[in-house]
Parts: sequence; structure tokens; C-alpha cells
Amino acid sequence: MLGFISNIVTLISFVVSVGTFLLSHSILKNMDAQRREYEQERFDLQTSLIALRENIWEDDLLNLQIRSQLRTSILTYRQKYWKISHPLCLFHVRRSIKYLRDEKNATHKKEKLCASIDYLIARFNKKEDLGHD
Amino acid sequence: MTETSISFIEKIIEKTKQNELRWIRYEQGNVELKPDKNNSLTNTALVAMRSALEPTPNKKSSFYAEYKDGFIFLIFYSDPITHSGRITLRAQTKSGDHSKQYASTSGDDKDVVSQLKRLYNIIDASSDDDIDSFVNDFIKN
Repeated sequence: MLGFISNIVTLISFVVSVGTFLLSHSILKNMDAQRREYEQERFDLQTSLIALRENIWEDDLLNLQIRSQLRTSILTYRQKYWKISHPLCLFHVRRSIKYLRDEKNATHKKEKLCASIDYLIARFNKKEDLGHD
Repeated sequence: MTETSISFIEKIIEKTKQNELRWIRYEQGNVELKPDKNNSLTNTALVAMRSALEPTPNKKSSFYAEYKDGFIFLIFYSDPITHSGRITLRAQTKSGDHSKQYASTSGDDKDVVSQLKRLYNIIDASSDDDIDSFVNDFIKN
């Protein structure tokens, strides 16, 4: 009887191990695909953020259009790459979105807003390791 | 070319901010962008095939400004396949037959691409400022 139960437990643990392996493999594959996509879009997002930071800091532009573009760029980053983002990145994403709520807020917190954008621009200088295949 | 592109873009930004350049939406103007100087194809079939494959300029989102005896164009290309956009900076003289590209956001120079995007944002945003000042002027008078 005990032998039978141990056979069943072994069988169940084998099935669970195979399931876990397949699931982790699928998650890793998904993360690899995200990293590759990130590399392709990294340049585009980084140059957009540099341009918008200059628009805010040098050109004194903080109208709805600029705020909306900046929000779109930052939210695109968050939506797509939150799984591979460092918690500090997510903090600066959240802080930027908070300061971009309205023009008065953004103007008042201009330096802090630019500091968060600076962090995200610097983050895009880091290339992701693609050597998982 | 990169240094020329950066200097050219920075000077355009400076002149735009000082209101020395007046930008007009391409669709509202009567100036046509001349063919690219580097496009040496003369066979009409090949030219037609190439232009069918290339993204088309979005005239509504493109601008030009007149300066002395020439024009500066900021052309926004919409790609119907990828649904993405590309901005190019071109210049042409009134007497010449061709235009020349000086910068594009499809390039790989970070400074050129970011400054070109910055310039486009200034021009695109200032077109809204014109409407705001018109409405403010209307309210005051």
C-alpha cells in the first residue's frame, strides 16, 4: 500500500516538475522577447525623452501637447517594460506622471520632473543582456 | 555631415525661438518640395515603384519656412506598414532643381535625432500658441 502511494506521489511530483519547467521556460522566452523589443525601441524612446526634456528646460514649453507626449512616452515604457524594470525606474516613472498631472504642478516641480526624466534617459544607456539563447 | 546637421538644427531652433523664421503647415502653403538630390533614378517606372514603397509625406503634419532665397522643410513621413512616423529636415533654394536632406529621425546619431525631435516639437507646439494668442487677442478687444 505504501509503495503504491509513493509511486503516485513520485508521479505527481514528476508532472509538477515538468509543468514548472515548461512554465519557467515560457516566462524566460517571453522576457527574452521583451528584452529584444526593448533594445529596438530604446533608441526611439531615449531620443524622444531627451527632446522633451530640452523642450521643458531650454524652450520653456510645458503646454498640454508636450505634457501629453511626455506622458505617452513614459507610459509606453511602463506598459511594455515594467517586468524588466528596476524598482527605481518605476519610482521615477510614477513621479514623472504625478508631476505631469497639470501645467501648474509641472511648472512648480520642473526641476524634480527633469531629474526623473534624466534618470530614465540615463537608464536607456544601459543595454540589456541578450545572451540567454 | 553630423556637425553640419547639428549646427543647422541649432540655428533653426534659435531663429524659430526669436521669431525670425515663420513656419507654415505644408498643406496650407504653395511651395512644393523638390526631389531629393541623391535620388538619381531617371527611369519613370523605377521612380514610380520606389515612391510606391516609400512612406508618403504627411502634409498636415509637415512644415516649411522661407529664408532669404530658399526654403527649409520639416517633413513628417507616415509609414502605412509600421504605422510609425519619421521626421526629415530638408532644404532647397528657389532657383535649384533639387532639395537636400540634412537630418532624419531614422538615423543613428542620438544628438541629431533628439535635436530634430526637439525642433519639431517647438514648431508643432508654437502653431497652437498662435491660436491661443489669436483667441486671447479676440477676448481682449
